[in-house]
Amino acid sequence: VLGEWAQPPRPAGTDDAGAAIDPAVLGRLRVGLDDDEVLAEIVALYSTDAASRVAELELALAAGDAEGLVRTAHTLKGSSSNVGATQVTLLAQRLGDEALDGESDEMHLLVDRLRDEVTRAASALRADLAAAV
Amino acid sequence: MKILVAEDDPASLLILRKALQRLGHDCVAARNGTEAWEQYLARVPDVVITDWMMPGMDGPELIARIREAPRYCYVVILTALAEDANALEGMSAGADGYLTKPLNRAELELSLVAAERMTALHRRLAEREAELEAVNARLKKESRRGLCLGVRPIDCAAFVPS
Repeated sequence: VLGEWAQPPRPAGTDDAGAAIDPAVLGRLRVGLDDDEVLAEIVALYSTDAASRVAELELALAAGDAEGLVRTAHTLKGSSSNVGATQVTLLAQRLGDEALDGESDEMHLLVDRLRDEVTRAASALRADLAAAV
Repeated sequence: MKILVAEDDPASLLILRKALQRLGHDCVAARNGTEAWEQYLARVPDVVITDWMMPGMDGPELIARIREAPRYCYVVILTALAEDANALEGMSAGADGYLTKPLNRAELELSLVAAERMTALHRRLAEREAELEAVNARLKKESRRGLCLGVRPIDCAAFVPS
């Protein structure tokens, strides 16, 4: 208990809130599609696209391109919510809100977290596909 | 129905396209607003489902152009959750409905039932308008020939809601 108290507070929006994906969303998608090959294609598309969106976010952040940050964060949020990548959805939402408010240190932190969470979501999605076979 | 989807995210586009195909619709895809406008002019869709934020031309601008075009098209705006303000702005800009991500297939189907009814109504209206135009043209012709004394050409615009 003392150990918990002694830990430094985590910056807002970077708490590891839990599972990378929401199995319920993915389950509904699977039932709706009724085609595991298409689901695998969607997961592959998402994984590739989300990784390149993070790279776009890094570039936009370095260039101080707030509009680019807002737009890319929005796209990442939408695609992530569609496949049930909960953490990426939340972080992308936060980043978009921060970018709208203007430059902040937290944006760097959020992009770093997004990079990790996109990787985590992609592996969780692949694991879910493998388990369903 | 022929449905044009404007969506810059490939995974979301595939999800939507498969859902539309399963509902028996013909789907045309565009990866941004500019491409969507070109496809709109070339393919004449019954329904447009458009994302809110896209590179180049965004959703609101695409809707504005569609609403300036003479032919009616049912427009649905796609927004991510917690963007109620965008949904309201989209509806005010001329959208007929909105859908949220993650895509809910039941909501999509409901939206398309409304779209089918509205497009059928507008199609009948356009047919009626064409009939009136034809009658008017005939009356004008006959009036010029002096065969139709006492009958004045009908002002078609008065019968057609703007």
